[in-house]
Amino acid sequence: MKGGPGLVRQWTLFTLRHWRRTPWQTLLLLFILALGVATYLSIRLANRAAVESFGDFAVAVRGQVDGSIEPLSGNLPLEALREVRQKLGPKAVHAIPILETTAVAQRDLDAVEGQFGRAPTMRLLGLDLLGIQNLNPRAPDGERILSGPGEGEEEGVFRERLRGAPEVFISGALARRLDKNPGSEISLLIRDQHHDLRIAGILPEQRAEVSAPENVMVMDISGLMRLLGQKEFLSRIDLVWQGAEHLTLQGQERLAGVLSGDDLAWVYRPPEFRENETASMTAAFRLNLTILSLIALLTGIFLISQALDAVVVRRRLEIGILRSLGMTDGDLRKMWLGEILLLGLVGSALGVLLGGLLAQLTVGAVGQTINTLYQGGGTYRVQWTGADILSGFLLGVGASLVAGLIPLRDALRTPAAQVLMQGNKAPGLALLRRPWPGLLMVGVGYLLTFFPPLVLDGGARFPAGGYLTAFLWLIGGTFLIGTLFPPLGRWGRDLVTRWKPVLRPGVSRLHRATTRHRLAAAGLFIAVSMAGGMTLLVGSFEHTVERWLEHRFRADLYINALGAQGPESDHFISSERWRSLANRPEVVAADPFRSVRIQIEGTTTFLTSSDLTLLDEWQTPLWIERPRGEVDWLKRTPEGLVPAISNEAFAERFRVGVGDVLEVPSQEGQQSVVIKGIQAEYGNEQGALLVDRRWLSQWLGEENLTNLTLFLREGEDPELLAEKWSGEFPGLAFRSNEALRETAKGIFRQTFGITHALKFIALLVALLGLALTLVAIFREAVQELKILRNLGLTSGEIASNAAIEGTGITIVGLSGGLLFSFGLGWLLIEVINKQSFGWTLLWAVPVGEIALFSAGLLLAGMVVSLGTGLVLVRKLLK
Amino acid sequence: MSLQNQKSQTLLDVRGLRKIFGETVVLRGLDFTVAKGERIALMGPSGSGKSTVLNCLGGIEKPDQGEILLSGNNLATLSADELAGLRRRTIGTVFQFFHLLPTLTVKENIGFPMELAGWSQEKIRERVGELLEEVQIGHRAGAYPETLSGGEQQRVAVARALAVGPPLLLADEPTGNLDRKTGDAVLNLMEQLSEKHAVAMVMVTHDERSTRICHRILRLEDGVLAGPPEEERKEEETAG
Ligand SMILES: Nc1ncnc2c1ncn2[C@@H]1O[C@H](COP(=O)(O)OP(=O)(O)O)[C@@H](O)[C@H]1O
Ligand SMILES: [Mg+2]
Repeated sequence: MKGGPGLVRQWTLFTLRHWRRTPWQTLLLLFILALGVATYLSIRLANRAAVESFGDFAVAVRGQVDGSIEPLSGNLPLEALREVRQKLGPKAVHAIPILETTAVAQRDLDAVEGQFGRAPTMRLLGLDLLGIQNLNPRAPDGERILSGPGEGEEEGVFRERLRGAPEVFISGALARRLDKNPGSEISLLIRDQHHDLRIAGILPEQRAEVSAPENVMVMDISGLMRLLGQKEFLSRIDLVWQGAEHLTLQGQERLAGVLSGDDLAWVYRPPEFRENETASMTAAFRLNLTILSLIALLTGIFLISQALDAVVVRRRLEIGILRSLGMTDGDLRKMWLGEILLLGLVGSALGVLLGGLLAQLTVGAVGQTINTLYQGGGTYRVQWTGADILSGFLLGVGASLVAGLIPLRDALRTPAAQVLMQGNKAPGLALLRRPWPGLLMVGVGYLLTFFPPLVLDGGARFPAGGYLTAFLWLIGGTFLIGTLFPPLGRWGRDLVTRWKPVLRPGVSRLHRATTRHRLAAAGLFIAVSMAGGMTLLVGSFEHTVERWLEHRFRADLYINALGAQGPESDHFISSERWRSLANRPEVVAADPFRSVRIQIEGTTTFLTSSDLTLLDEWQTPLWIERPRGEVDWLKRTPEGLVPAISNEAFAERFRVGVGDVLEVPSQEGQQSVVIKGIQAEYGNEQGALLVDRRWLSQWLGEENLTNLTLFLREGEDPELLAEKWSGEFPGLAFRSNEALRETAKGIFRQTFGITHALKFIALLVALLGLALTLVAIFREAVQELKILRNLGLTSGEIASNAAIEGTGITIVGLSGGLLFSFGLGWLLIEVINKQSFGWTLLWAVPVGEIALFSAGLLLAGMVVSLGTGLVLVRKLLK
Repeated sequence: MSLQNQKSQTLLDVRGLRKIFGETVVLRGLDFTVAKGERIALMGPSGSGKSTVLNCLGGIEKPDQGEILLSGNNLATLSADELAGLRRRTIGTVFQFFHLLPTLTVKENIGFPMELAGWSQEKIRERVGELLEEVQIGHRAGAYPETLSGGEQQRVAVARALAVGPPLLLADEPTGNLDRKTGDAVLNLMEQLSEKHAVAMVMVTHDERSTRICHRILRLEDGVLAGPPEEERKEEETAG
């Protein structure tokens, strides 16, 4: 730095002294910055925790694998193991069969009183323990993988034990939580049955630098097969290369070549596939949160900009003096950037700390939602990395620098002579006064809505155009809303002339609003549009889902396995059980529902089945496109195709419509299905094809159910029967229509809980920003306040004038925001939601909520303005 | 001179006015009176406390000792709101830097004190019209202050100060920021209006020539008033 003092000298000579002189304003400014950084960081941490909980648990137990064999549809038949080994031949690759299911601890279920989606779900892995013990190619110094009473046993004894009663290895964290020791028993719900299993040992907490997730349990695969009562199916086969190093990419490709072939019911997946898939599965949800947190930050940038502007106002005299002492614009710019740098650093540091606290909350909320919606893994932990802290700092410092640009320009434009003569008086920025850039942005934004979504790895779709539109509209809106000030001022002028002339100066200042007024209104505008748009989306979604629930769920009783904690759980109801229930005399119709994961075009989606002969008479889908004419769902079409119903998300995802033919993988080879109709289905964003259950059970070779729906004889009491039957089938959960809807709504509210929280953070930030801007505005207008005093206005009247300005800013931000929130609502519902989830939502305006929210904000704006006015009048007019 | 009739009637009575800022004693006990319609010049070196005196008279600063009686009201006994009311009805103010409200037009600036006084819109329009005429600024009635020249702004400020017909005008270097010719015009205007409406005036000034419109000069030095010069006392005697 040639012309100015060094950075540290500058900080000690100017910046810190200024901070000390205005401690409250500085703190408020730092807090806003910190809140923005913290919100972003906490969402980032929560998202990562959620994805990590999906990670491949086997990795933690057994070290990294070099790929796996997975079924194209549903179950992997046992023959696949033979086929794989055959294809591998004498290659140094081991094939390890794995059977995986989920389990819920009875203790956890009791603790949440059976509430759906609340109890943590654990992954139960069936592994060939003996084979792994012997294999273990990369274990450091030959350590044993599983410890416990089995340690040090002779191999023969170990083999004997594995043949005996099934035993389970649990994580140390679970053991501590449930207060269990090796040797004691644990009561688990697996699929639709209770099992009391002996705990064989504790899984190592750390292995090959991967910490074991707490929600994983391991048992011998033969034991698990016995437990589940089936010997025919596997979940997947993991492949482990015998070499000392991991398989190279070329090696993986060669492996894929060896393991390919026509007519296989399985595919080879390279190691990253599962990771990518689980990540992409929740991508849409996480993306929404990230976008929300970034919008909160965008609001933050506006507010920081305002706050820095306030700083410039206060320093204008100093800037003028420094100039008159011979400092150049370049020197001043460097000084200003230096000051902002310090602000950004301190604010980010606070933000990182605050983010740590917030993350504890968001991780819980996000984890809960992901558990419920995507059947995730249960426990989530906040884990910091250097990259998180760095990104927090980059964001905080970056946001401050961006925010500092406008005030910097403003400060440098102020001619020295004018400042020295008149004290604090600014020309203000012309930029925000022109409406045409705003109109241009709104127009370009609209065109971008026609942009198709980007398809991410794994099939999730990212509505890039839609998000860009949202951004352009928000920024464009900030240019446009300034035009509301003059009419508001005129209207106010007529009002005060008749009603309260004392307020004329405040109103007239609104009429001739400065850049600062516009900037403050813009901060509020962004917060309100975003919150309003989200309110419209959530309101419409809620309304639609309620209608759908009413329409779709007309049966009397809904039954699933008690351990099922999410819609895609593999806690099945066995065929003997559901048949026994369906055949009861009280039951007039039963709809057995089964859902399996399938791979189409390398993307995970669902193949589902139910009794389609019940359509129309008992079950009525919410058709988006009805089947044309009569369809016999049990017969192939003359072309030999199986008739199917696609849901909206499936149609959107795979770009198919009525009449299109698809190849669907199954154990019985590829099946050709034809789409006969498209139905709405909310709660499934990965897409699902629905066929009659007879097709799917034929393809799967078993008749287990995901859930069962019963229609009861006239006059039967569902609650009574539910109670009676739960005694008879302790592993099943019976829910009445009412209870099911309540559960669905509960899940819904939970899903959007975090959205509401973010909404309020944005509004809080906006209100704090309003206070800061008012400080700047009144500081600049101190001369005018003095005139008012000389004209004989009391302190209260002067403060009321100040309050009028703040209220006017609030009104402009609020009304502009409400107007734009309809645009954003439309964008979220018709473009962003449609592109990423493929759902048709019915437009619903939660009038009461919006009115309450507007009134609340207006009141808060008035209180903040009056408060700021009173404090400042007292301070400035001393 | 109309002063003759009002001479006996005291508008402002200042006794033992003392003002201390922290360690600095700025005013060490001032005594003076201002009769109705009387114009007084307050002179003194920079920093001698002239503005402080005006602020005390306007009730914006509180004296540390002494009394200020305005139309018989002791300012010390009035609440902040009552003082504000006094400024609204009884005192007009003119400053060196004009101090017009930048967001109000000329017309609105002049009319604002009348609005505060609760006048009807009709009466306001009428009176604003008169004042615009009196200060000869009618052609700029709808303009905003920033577009006016210094002299024009000060004329508007004078009109606003006299809008509701206060008995006292406080002026702090009203010509300090104007060239001589413009300054003279403003002074003439002030004299003329003060005569016409019988407004008393305390004018702080640096400029000896400005005192020509005043009946009396007070000199503030080291916190006390120097004795009034001969000729001015003479004038007073002649008047009496
Ligand atoms: N609010 C205040 N706080 C402290 N000192 C003040 C304040 N106002 C004026 N002074 C001091 O009182 C003295 C007189 O000020 P002022 O009345 O403005 O002088 P003048 O108008 O004669 O130039 C100055 O020394 C000034 O520094
Ligand atoms: Mg002065």
